[in-house]
Amino acid sequence: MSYTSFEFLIFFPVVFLVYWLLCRKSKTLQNVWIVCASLFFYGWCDWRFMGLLLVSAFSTYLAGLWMEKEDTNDKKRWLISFGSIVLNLGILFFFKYYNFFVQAFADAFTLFGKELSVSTLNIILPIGISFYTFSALSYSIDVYRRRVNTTKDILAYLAYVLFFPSLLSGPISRAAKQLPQYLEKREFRYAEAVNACKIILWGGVLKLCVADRLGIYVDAVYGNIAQHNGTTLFLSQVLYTIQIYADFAGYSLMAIGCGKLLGIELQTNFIRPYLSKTVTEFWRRWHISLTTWFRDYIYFPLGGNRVKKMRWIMNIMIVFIISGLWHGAAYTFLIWGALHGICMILERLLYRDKMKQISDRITFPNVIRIFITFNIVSLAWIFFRTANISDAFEIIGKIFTSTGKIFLDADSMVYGFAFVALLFLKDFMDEFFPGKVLLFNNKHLVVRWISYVAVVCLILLFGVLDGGSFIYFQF
Amino acid sequence: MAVLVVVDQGVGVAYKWLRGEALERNPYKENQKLAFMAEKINTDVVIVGASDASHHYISKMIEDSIGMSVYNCGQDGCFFIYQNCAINLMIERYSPKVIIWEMMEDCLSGDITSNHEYQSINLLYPYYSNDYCHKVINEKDKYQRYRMLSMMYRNNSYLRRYIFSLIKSKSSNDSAGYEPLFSAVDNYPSMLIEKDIHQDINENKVKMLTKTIENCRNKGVKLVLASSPGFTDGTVFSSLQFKKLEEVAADYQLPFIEYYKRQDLFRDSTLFKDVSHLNDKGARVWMSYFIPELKGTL
Repeated sequence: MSYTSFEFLIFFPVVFLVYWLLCRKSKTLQNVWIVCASLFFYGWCDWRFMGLLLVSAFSTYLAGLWMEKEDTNDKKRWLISFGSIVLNLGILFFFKYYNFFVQAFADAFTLFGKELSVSTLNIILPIGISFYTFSALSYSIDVYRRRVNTTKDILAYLAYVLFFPSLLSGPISRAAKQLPQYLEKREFRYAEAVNACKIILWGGVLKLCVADRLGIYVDAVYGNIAQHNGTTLFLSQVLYTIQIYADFAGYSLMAIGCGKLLGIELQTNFIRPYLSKTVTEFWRRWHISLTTWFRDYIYFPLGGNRVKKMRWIMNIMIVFIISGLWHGAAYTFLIWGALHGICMILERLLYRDKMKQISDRITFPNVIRIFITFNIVSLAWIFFRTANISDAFEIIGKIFTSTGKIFLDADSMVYGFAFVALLFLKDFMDEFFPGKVLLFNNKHLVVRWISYVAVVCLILLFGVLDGGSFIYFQF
Repeated sequence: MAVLVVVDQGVGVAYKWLRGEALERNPYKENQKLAFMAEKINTDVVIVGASDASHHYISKMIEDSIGMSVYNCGQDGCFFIYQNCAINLMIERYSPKVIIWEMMEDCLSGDITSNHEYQSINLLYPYYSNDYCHKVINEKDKYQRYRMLSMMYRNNSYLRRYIFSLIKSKSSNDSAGYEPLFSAVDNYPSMLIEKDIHQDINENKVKMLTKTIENCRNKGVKLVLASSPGFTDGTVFSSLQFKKLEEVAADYQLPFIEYYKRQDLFRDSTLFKDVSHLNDKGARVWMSYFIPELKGTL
């Protein structure tokens, strides 16, 4: 059940109405309803792994209670926290990485000329496991660090971990910011609800009109790499760069909007990442909930940047390789993460302390920096998108050596480019001229309502609504 | 909500007008084939099918040989279910003397996703009011009938094709719908060895086929089934679906002109643009076999 499915269009209004009409008087009732709705939502997607979801939630909840009981025994608290990390990451590791590491182990032997016969398991990846595991661990780690108080309210805690708008694809919740919201009764605020609807609408445009539209073209090209020339592959790569942003940002916005409609503030996940002037800045604007999680729970404990240079370089590479692998269990993701790590290191060595002096204004050097950063990130996305390393290198090789006529698809080009232009225009205005052009937030009611209706029309007329069409490509 | 409904209906009216204008302005454009078939066509012979039809059947060659007007309504990427709808949509308004229906060998396959059957159904949305199309479109999934309440949804992604038909120069009718393919020199395909042939038959598709055959018969339309060459090893001809196709043709005494028995004549890669499609040279060779057999059935 995705946000753009018909089932969700029926499910969410029911949840919303019951939440505010029948459950508004009590925090407990609100949390019960969130838990029920979330379990239903998850079960609808894949009921087979509901047990795992509950294991993750309960194990971290109980770890918190136990740590409170052992409040004066730091060693025991450490052991309990460590145990909850091992349990949850162990489950994640098994389902997501077992086959990858078994195969990597065998591949390592191959490097030395030895063939190792290994058997992998037929493991299905539980949906959302990478997200809810991190949300749950955020609680037990922060309780250990005494940054969050232990909660005895099991319903509030379950509502925090299971909260369906962010359960499958984030934003990753953090105990310090999100959990306190479930410990109090939420009040309905009309202005916030209207704001939430605006966020959902714009998220819908990003997902349906930009991401899914570009995806038709990108999938057609990436599905037949050998048949396309470098020019087409380059265009496809640029479009994929925008597609993945629109897809993820659109989904995040819809999650944030749905959360807001239920009185829960989720974390902002994207802040115009392709207007970043450096790769370092890119990671402050892209998938913020994940990067801050890695920063707070891996990078800082390793010492962050308050260590010697070589140690810092190692810290950066560890974090980015883990980040790469978090996205997928394959060498391509590992390389993608490593590339970003290398770029951050090179930037630090190049800029040193001058990075902080880069202004936020539109200047010629900044335009060049944005252009370069976009291309670096775009190149790295090749490894993210392809199925294997050889395909990635084939694409890169062709981009630099093979030119030719671009493969065109009329609908993708016309609608895709139109909405990409709209997206970049909005991002550009929000970045450099915030508040100058207001449509959704215009002071005139007529302008606001015309904007709402226009956006709905855009989605219905130009969004990819039937799960994506395909381009019939003759090759 | 009320405003949205009013806007939605208004957009529907505007798009209907736009579609009419685009068809009037540029009836022979490739992306107007369905509209042309549904609203304008009046030739004696109509060719229906997917890309095999549009690229393999040279309308003018057939026309010159049999002395009847011909139009090729073959449409890339539009498969069996679409073709049934298009034929029924057309014969509700106009009954040609002959329909040449290019059949894909696995068109009765149970695996609907293998050839993206329902992808091309989107093209039929503007004709939702037609009973046959209405039923087929609603069968797409359980919520489809609710989505189709929206006029904007029905006209999703159509604006470009209407605008392009209006602003671009008028396409000529010289080729009467035939879309030739040309191979680049030294870029001929390698023969496809068919490994995964689905052996299951979709009974709903068989019913759909027989219903369309009966509807054509009731309208006095002569149906000729055909299966043109591909650059393959021909394994698919031993499949249950192909045999079922032959069986249905025999049951209804329909001519079925297929190249299976002439495979040896099409083992030349220079006749093909890719493993599924003849190039223009190959199409002319195919016509040299097809047309005499067609004449024999008329």
